Amino acid sequence: MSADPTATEALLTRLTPAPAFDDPPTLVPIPDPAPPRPPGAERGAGTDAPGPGAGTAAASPGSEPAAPARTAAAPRHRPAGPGHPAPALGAESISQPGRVPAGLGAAPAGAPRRRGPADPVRAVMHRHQAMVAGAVDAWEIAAGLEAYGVNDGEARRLRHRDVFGLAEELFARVPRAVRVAAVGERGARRVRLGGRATALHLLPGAGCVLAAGLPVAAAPVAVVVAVALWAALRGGPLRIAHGAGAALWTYGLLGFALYGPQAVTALGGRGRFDTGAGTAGFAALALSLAPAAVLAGWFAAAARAQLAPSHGLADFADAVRPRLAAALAGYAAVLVALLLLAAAMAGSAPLAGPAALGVLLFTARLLAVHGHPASAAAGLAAACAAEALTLVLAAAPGHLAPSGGTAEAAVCGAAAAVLAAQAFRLLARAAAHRRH
Amino acid sequence: MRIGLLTEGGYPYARGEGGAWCDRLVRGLAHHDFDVYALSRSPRTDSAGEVETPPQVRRVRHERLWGEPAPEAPRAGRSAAKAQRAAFRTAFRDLAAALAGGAAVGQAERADRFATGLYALADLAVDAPGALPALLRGDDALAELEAACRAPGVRPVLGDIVVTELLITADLLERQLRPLSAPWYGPEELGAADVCHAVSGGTATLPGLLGKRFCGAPLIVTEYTVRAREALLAHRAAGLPPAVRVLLGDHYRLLAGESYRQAALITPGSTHVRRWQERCGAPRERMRTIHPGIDAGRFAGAGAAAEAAAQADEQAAHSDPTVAWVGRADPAKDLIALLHAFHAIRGEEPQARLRIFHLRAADERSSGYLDHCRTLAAQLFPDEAADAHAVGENPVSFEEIGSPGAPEPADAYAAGDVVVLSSGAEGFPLSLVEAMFCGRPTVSTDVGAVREVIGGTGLVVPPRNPKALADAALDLLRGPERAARLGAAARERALALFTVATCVDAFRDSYLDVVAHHPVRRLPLLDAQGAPRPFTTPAESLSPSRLAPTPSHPSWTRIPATRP
Repeated sequence: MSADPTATEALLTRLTPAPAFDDPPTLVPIPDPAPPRPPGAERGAGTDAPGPGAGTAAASPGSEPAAPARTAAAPRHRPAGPGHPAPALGAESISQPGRVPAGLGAAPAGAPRRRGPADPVRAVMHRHQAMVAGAVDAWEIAAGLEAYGVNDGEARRLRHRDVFGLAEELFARVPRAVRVAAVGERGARRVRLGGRATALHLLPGAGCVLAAGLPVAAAPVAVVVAVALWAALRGGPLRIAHGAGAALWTYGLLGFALYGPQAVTALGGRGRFDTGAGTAGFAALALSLAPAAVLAGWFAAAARAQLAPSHGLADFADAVRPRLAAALAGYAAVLVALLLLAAAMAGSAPLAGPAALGVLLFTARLLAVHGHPASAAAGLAAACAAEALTLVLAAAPGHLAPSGGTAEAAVCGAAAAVLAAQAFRLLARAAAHRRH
Repeated sequence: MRIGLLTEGGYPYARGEGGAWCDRLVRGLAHHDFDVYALSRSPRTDSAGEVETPPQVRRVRHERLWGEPAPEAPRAGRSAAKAQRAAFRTAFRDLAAALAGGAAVGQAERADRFATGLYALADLAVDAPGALPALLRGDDALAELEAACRAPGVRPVLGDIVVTELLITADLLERQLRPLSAPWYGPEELGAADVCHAVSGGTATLPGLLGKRFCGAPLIVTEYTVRAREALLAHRAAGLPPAVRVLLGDHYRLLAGESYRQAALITPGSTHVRRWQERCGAPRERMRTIHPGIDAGRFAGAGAAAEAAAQADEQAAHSDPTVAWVGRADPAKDLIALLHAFHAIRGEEPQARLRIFHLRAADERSSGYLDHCRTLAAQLFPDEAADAHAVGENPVSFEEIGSPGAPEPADAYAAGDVVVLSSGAEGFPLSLVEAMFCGRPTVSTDVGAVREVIGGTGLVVPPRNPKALADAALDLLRGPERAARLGAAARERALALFTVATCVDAFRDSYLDVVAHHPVRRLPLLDAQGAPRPFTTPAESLSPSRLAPTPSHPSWTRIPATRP
């Protein structure tokens, strides 16, 4: 700052106290100080006091309201009289009324004095503008100043007891940097499975379609489907760290979806065990894995994007719940469409049972992905137990069980409703969307 | 005596600051037993392996302050979990209120609430092992943090905290509070220690605080760098959001304050550290400055040679007066100022040479700075030759320590007639102490602990003032007698104050002193007749328990092995 003579003069002008002395000196008007200054330099504290020795009052944060009066009180004139040498004009930053500082620092008498701002702290303010403006408290400024090599000796030269005192003055005088409002992460919203992941997620569905077309190869294809399912869920948006034993219940539920209704019919003595009856619905269910992954990824990204703009946990919950509803509804819609398609292709296929099961599995997976595997496993286990009970009831004398499809739809629907309620409660919490 | 040594990121990990110092301390006190409780700060610390510990280190316990917490222990039951949550919320409410501060909470009350919350969390971690990390990362912690930040009178930067910042704060706090969940506070672990010695501030003091609370072991806090200050700088450099920086900075400060209040003895490494500690609330009457001990053995040969040369009065006959700089290249070392100063020196002494000995550049920043300095040196000083037929050479040379010019640091120091330290910022200037060990006259900038270290045995100039640096160096180059006197005085001073023996002796005395004043009361407190048992473990019973191999002569007199 001191390198630029016009800037220095302008600063001197600003720092000049209103002429409170007995003889008004000749006032030389200075043209408009052109060089722009950083915003921090405009709001110095040394100018708002009419006499020397009032600098400390200005150094406190309480002087902020005086800012408009300050600009009015400091005229753009420079006293040029011989009774007012430049250094004496400086507003002091210490509380020693009446004492005229003997120049800045310990400049030797003969050396050409470097003309700088009369307020020595101002130079420090300017030099460390970015660091001070971005700091959150005086401690941080003190640490930063020391890292830049400002030590206690330097602070004493600036008339502070130590670096901490200087840091407090800087914290009070330099306005805080404007905080940039957080915006949601736009890029994160676009969720796209990679080519390999898409293939992995489509593989179980493709296997099921193959099995539905070739009943002869059912057994090896079933193994392939099971392995493909495991491989698909090891990566991608549906991956979980630990499942709390949900895998067992999941396979149980899937098995019931494939053979359950026919088994109930056979056990109840109402018909013959038909192995191929549930294949079409099951294929639709397996094909819905890829959209489920996409929707789960979208939900995770959308919820995470709400973290930064939300100013409270309640705000965040309000923003997440509609997104969760959209994800669940979207999955249900896709699944129903696939099931209808399967029914059209195969002639007839159950609709309600596989749809309820799909929503149940999707909800449980969402819960597990976002850190609540125990709740998810409990829901799946309860559904599995209820279906097992249906089989037992069907086999028991009296054949009290309802038809397999109805039982599946009711059990899975109820479990899905319970888990969805849980999801609306648990996934609306911010802790569920922590970045891993 | 059994000493619980609490470290963070340093000993016994091979890569970590303060590790070498700690190793010397442990090896120096061979007749005491050490239990090391080590906190590793990052995967880098872990991956570098560990140093070999001497036999007096009885056991080493580890805890990670990074990565995911250990998987949650199986929950006790619904009602027990509910009770845990309620207890956690009460405890964390205090902690969060202390961190956030506010108009209604005074400074003393903040410290008080911090301690209340901290110890309540520690009790919870003892009652329900394994449950605390999940609770600290859970929704209850976020809700309490949010409520504390919305309290009336809280600083504006906390008032508009967003959910991301809440999450980051909760995560980082969980890592900092992980020692609470460590299984270290039983009668066999810290309960068996006679004194806990935290060799850095910050998180390493947490086990010490709990050791004092649960087992009654007195705590010694040693700091060579102020952890609260380092944390402020690190958080700023890591670009953490402002609200997170406020909360974590306050956490570090309040933790430091609590550890200073509870410590039986605080040993800052320099006046600078002491000042920060006092500012954080350390009581003066329990502070004792102990300078770090530096292995003088490596420099004994150079020091003796300097002394012999001074006596033989060889100093005067020099054709090329040499200025040396030794250290790790870093922008804070201000090599630019050194080059400018040397430019001024060359104006007066055309034969002068500058040799810059640097350690191997560890990172991108360091090597980039070194390249920058090389370029500047090439611009300032053209290559010069003695006559028209000689190959020219630059008067400024950059040499790596370990290269043929200087196989050991001692050779680097010995190469200079004057050793210069031109740093713009500095903590405890190790290279200056090493130069003093070598008996070299020094010119240093007035930063960090330089004045405290050099005393009156070297010249000190203001930082970022190449002219003053040049004048001082010229004074020494032109006055060899004075330079020799200063070098000898510096060597005497360093040998008196900064050797390993001095440091280890100071800590040995401190341990005995602390143990004598704060005896650990061990069960049973009453004897068979029901009378109290005072003086059952006097301090004498804790003094050297076995004969230690004593070196026949001090380590600094050892002559270093000559290389083949």
